[in-house]
Amino acid sequence: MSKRRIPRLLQTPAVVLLLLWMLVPLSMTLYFSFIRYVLNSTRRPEWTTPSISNWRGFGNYEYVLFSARDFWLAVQNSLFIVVCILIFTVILGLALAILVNRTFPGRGIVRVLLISPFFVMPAVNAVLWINMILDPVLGLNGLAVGGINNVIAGLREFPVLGAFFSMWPEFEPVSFRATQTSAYAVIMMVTWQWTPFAVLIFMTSLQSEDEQQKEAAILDGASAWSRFRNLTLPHLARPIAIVVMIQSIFHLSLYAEIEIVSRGNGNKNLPYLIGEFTTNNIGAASAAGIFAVILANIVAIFLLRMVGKSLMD
Amino acid sequence: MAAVAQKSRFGGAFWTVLAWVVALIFFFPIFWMVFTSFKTDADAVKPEHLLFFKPTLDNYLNMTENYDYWRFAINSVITASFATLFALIVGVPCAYAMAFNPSRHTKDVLVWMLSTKMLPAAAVLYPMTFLTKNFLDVFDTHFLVILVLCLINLPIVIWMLFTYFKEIPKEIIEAGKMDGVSTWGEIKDILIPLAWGGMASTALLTFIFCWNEAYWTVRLTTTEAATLSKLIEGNRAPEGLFFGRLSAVSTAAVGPIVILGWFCQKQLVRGLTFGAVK
Amino acid sequence: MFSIRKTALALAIGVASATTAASAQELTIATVNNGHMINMQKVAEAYTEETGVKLNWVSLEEGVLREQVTSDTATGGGQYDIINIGMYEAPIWGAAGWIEPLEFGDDYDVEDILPAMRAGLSHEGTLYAAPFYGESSMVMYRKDLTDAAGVTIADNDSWDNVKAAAAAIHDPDNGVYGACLRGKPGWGDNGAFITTVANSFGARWFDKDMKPQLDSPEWKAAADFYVDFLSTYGPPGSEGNSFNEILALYNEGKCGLWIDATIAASFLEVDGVAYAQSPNAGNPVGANWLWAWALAIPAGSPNAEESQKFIEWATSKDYVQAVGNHPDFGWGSVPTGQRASTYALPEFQEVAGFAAAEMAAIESAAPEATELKPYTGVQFAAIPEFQEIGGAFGQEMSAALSGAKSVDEALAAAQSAADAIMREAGYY
Repeated sequence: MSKRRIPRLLQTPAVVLLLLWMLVPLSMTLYFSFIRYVLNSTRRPEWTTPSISNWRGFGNYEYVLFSARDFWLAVQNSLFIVVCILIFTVILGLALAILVNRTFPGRGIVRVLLISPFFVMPAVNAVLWINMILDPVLGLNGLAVGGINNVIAGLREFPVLGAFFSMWPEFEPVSFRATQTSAYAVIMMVTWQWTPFAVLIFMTSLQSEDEQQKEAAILDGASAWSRFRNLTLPHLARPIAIVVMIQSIFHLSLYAEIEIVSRGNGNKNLPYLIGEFTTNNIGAASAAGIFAVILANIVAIFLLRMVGKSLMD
Repeated sequence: MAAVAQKSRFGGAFWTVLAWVVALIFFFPIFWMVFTSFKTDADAVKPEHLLFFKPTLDNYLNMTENYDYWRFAINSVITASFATLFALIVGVPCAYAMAFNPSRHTKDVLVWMLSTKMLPAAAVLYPMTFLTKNFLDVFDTHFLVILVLCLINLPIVIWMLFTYFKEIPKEIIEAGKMDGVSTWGEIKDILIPLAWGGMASTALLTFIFCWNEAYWTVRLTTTEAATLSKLIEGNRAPEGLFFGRLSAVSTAAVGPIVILGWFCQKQLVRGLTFGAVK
Repeated sequence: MFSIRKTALALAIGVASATTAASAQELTIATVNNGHMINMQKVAEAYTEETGVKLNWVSLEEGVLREQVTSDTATGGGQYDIINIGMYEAPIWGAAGWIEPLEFGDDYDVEDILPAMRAGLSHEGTLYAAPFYGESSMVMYRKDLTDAAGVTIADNDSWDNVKAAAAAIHDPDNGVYGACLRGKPGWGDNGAFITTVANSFGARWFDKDMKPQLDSPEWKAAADFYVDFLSTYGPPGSEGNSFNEILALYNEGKCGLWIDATIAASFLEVDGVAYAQSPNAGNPVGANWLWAWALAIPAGSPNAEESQKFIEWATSKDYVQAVGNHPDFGWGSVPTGQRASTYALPEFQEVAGFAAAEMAAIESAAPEATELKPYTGVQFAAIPEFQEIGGAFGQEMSAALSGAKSVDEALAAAQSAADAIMREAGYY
């Protein structure tokens, strides 16, 4: 056996499996995207069988791009959600990781509490937040706003101060299922779930930070901020890259959260758009799927080529 | 000097309190879910019973009686464990070869592997249903769920293992080669003991991802291989009031994994380096 | 001609027939996760005891059920022996040959099934799904509040009167909102309700050439009315409310009036609920909607015979008796809206104060295609493309309700989406 052959042999199962996993369904999707294919049609029963005689060329792509609704909204929103989540999780994650990196009473418990959200299933997360926390009447959101209003109403009764408080408006609870707000609800709940992941990774690498260097900086009179800026942050550059990459992989395909929060109203990403087509029009769903693959690959090229490769050195 | 110590002690107390407050805020939704699971559906939406109510176990009894919780739970354990195991079995040799015998293409292969993870599942749902149900006849089997879970996590597994293996000095492996140890022997006797911590972290993370996967496990199963995520899908919006019921089902579905995560917290904190720690 | 589906079908049948021998005494039933269905699992234990047929239940959320059952049935079936489908699917799937026609013996008394239900679940006169329970919609309101305000709500009242009544009882400072109506996007959620409003304004989904009519003045009037009504007198967050959310609000005493499924009446735990037939300006489609959760058999099911027997039992008069006499349930829990005989039972009448209103609402609904509307269905159009159209429409209306769009913009967007979908589907 040559030196080359064994490593190749060892890689083969993984490579073959992933190739099959990628190519087989994808080539079917590609095929469907070029034919007329609907699950059910009263007018054109011949379209319900996937067959080469229903060839349509780029018709499905044209339909998805130009005639059907919400394609660009979905693309925009896919990116918007991912970018917002990334920004929030990285900043929050950094802050929290530094906060719990010190030794203090109960650090073990604090860490356990802090990372728990990461283990929660996405569907549970969404249902929990949108119903029990964010609901504008029955959720804690609504109850809290109601409570504040009641307190203000009570304060209005006071003799002198009352005049001041009576100028205060009644607060309206924010509804997180509305067209304007549903994306924020999704961002909020996913940030809650994935910040712990960032914390975990940042914490790991903070522990490997060079303490001597830090102490030297303290002796030199460097401020806490400049220590963070010049020592900790560069040290964390790679972990940040990792958090960004892994999270982009996961969040480009968010589905349950979007469905549960607002049924795609005002807030849908490409996977959800595909899901909407899938109710009947498989051809269009497949074309949208190919677009989603293209988008994922563009993101992948940016991330993996710029971030990922440097990580592997 | 005394003033500085005073200040830092005060500052220390402040940061400690802040850490506790933030941790409690982060944990609150989970606490609230567990708390609500002991309320009846009617109490769960009544402001007057927000904090004070007559606790009941009915939601849990209903869940085990009417929804066969244990079957779903056992399926989750089986599929997540075996998927993790198989991902490691396939991933370890691959990562080993990549880390110790890299070729010109190794990085490209790794990048490609990760990019397969970015393919949107929704794009291939229909072909997958078609294939697994009509051609392969494996729809709704443990085999299929394990295979799919293994495949969707394989890229991350390989990547994580690759980064751990790279930290092992090449000389150790080379020394093994000199002594005439076989490839399998190298993996078994040198690599695995050295990278044990990293492999444990990888396995843990994979297990968590498998347990929480909810796209394929819901759509490629009916009864036989349905996991807890399917139980959640069935209960997330039944007709009528449901916060109490749903909280109980959710608690029972995420409980095991959260507790597992608590126990393995140290391992996770130490192990999730992804090669970022040099 | 190369055809994957036929090969697949042949393969699937081949595999299935190889395993039938072992599974003949086992049925897999997919149901929506609603109370009546969950009760059925318990009640059916007696059926298993009697016949030896083992039943495997899969209960899913409505949207997921629809998705799963559709993808299974469209790819030749095989996962389920009995599926729980709605009034929307029954005629379409019957026409496509996805589900088996149902024929029952004399004991079953098909004539006893309410005529509107039979019409809605049939295609060209053949019954394709048997109603397990059915519903219409009606007005439920708090009599104490209307009495105090000195207003009344009559059967088939005018929308203006209903709105005036809502205005009279609207008291947000004390946590009472005049009207709670569906606003959550979805053809079965806000779409269903708004369509009934539109029907009463004389609007229709499609004209005789199946061209969408959302740009008609009738739709405009209906949508304007709905958005104005609900945003003025509805609770905050109405754009996210559907049946469940409003039920919780109503039970909290936060709703003055509520127009929704008749089934809601059996969930209401508050006193002083009064019922009225939905507002109507005399349109022939009926003021209210018509829906049934029905049981059907996927075409080519190897266990069709056993499945048919089970459906016959589960939708029979005997089943109603079995629930009524079951120690865990009783007469308040019997499925309703399916059979005239259920409403004639004295035990049922005693516990169901809403029975008369519900039956009247169901009987007044006319799902059949007519000159006016060339499609089956009251609050939907029974064509395969409607799910997509209704979904887009629901999202647009929700956007209009929360003020993200004007009603005109929302209707225009929904119309162009509907037009694109119908064109794409080859209607014109």
